[in-house]
Amino acid sequence: MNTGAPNFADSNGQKKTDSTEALIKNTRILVLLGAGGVGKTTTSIVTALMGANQGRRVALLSIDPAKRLAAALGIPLSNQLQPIAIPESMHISGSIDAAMLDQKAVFDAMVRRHAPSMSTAESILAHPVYQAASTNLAGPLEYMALAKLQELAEDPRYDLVVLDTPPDTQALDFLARPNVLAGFMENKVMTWLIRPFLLAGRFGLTKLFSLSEKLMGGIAKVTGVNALQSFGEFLLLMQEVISGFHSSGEHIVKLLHSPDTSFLLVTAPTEAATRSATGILTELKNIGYSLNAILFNKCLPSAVRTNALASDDQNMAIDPAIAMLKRRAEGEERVTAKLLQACSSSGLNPLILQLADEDQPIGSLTAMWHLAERLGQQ
Amino acid sequence: MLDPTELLSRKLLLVTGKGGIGKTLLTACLGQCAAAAGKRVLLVEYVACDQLAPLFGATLIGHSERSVAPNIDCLNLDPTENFREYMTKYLGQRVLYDTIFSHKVVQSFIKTVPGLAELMLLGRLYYHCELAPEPRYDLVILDGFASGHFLSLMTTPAAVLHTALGGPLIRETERVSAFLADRDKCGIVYVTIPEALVISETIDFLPRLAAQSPTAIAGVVLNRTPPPLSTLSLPGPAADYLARIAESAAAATAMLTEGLAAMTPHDSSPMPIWTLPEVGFIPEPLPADFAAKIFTAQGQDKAERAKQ
Repeated sequence: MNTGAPNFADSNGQKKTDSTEALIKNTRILVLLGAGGVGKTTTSIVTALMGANQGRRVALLSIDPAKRLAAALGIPLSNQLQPIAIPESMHISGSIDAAMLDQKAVFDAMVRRHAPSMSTAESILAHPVYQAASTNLAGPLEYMALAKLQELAEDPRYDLVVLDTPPDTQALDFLARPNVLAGFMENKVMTWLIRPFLLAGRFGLTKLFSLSEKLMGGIAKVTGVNALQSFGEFLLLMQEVISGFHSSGEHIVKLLHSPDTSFLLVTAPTEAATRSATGILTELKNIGYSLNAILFNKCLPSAVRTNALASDDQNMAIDPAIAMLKRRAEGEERVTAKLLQACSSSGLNPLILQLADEDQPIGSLTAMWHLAERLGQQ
Repeated sequence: MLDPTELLSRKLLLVTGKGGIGKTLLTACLGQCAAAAGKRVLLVEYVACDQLAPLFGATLIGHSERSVAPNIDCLNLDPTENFREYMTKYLGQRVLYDTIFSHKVVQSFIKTVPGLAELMLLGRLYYHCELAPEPRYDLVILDGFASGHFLSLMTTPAAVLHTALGGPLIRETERVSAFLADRDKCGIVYVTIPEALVISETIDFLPRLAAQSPTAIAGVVLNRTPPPLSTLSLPGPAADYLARIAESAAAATAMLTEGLAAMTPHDSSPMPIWTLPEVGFIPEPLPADFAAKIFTAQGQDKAERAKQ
């Protein structure tokens, strides 16, 4: 099967992690990890641009990006891949199709697609609790992104897939066990638990029996059964969607372990981000995936850092702002070293990348291309 | 500057904002200020890994209140544990819980019913503010979710009430809703930073939050405001950098002020904007006087200017 992607095995001996260009060149699936607010989604777009610049046909999957980011790329929030218009002035030979997965849009679409009837779908969509909650049903979305990942990995139209993961991936559970939708599908629990609600809706509570009667009676006592009835329908639908996905879980694990899948951890040089990053790399190591690169984002520009670190007391007495910069430079060096130490004690040897806070794009593709050029030099 | 006195007179503060801009730090700082003023304060977070506790030099707080500094307790809520307590303590359904809800399968149910965890979280905050046995905390501060998720947290009680049900859950939700809507007792603090993209998101989001949340927005905290320019600093990359960030921050701040004015009805004054300085690097643990220093930093500037 010729996918158009360079095969890792015959990449003329070049080590996968020598440079950003080489890393992307030897990658068919790029998974981005990181805590909220470190610039992960932006990085996913930047790496997609770098891939396109190598002539690749890139599929970019982004979960819950800022609406303004989607707007900057000129594509609507949707779970359908749409081509991004890359300005000709960038001279990029490849292409990017992007899907910006918006949780609510994804769920709404799923309810519509799988509901037994239009009226059921509409009643779920109109349910006030569904409306309040559908923006934060984070778990299932991660799994859907993985399902989409598999679909794209097998799609001959693409030779690089970039996956941006949701901000709260501390547990990374969905990468570890993609075949188990956490707490959702365990032993078909939901079916067992929810079906009585549907029956109750249809036949009345008296028709419930055995343990499930006691259970449902208990839940009804505190919540009222009707409220849960449409959730029941909703969850059953979810289950239908998910059980299709269930069987392919092992395949996804294999995909994620393949030598041309790379993991890029995005972090910022602060104590809090470093703590999250350390957690993520430990977890990643435990699951058995490799970490190929770390991007330290939003750093003090290097000339400023050098200048601030060289400032003496007299200097800082004149301008306290210089003292502030020096504190920042020292702090950044300390936490960066801490994370690198955590890498080496976990036996990881990732490519280390750095971007300055000033390089942060102001929301246009051109600005992101500037970032891609910066990364391309590393 | 941020004069937290008025803010801290409430019983519950909910801190929110975009990810990575200082929500947790502000929560900790408000806690330090309240404690310094002699209040007993509880800081609550709801995350997989503790982020608040390390700011006080503590690790792994977990699901029970633990003292991290004089007058400051921290709590990292676990949804399942919280459900158990909600059922047994607040709804008085211990038997029901023991016979039914302790069942393993029900545990997974708790995590997946839309809105349930949110409702329990708000219930728990209400409990600590109004119901817990005396002596209660004087102030509870939630290090809240990032903007979008926070909005859905705040819309959950109304959504549940619109289901036209009865029973203890609904009665409880009614009480919680009434509490959250009390302007004297509860307020939202929205954190943002003076960067163009973040400010434009702020201006988009605040009207939606104001329209849909039962709790009023007490004010906006503009975190990481660069220091005023000094004419005395030596030329070089550092001074140039300071000049550049001061310029872009000034533009973003103007955008915020304008945006907030535009969303203010004619007959009322705009939402307060409190600025907090860029501190360079946030040390862990925070020094005990960290909040006092950053809260007064720009206040002193202002006072000096007023004297001239």
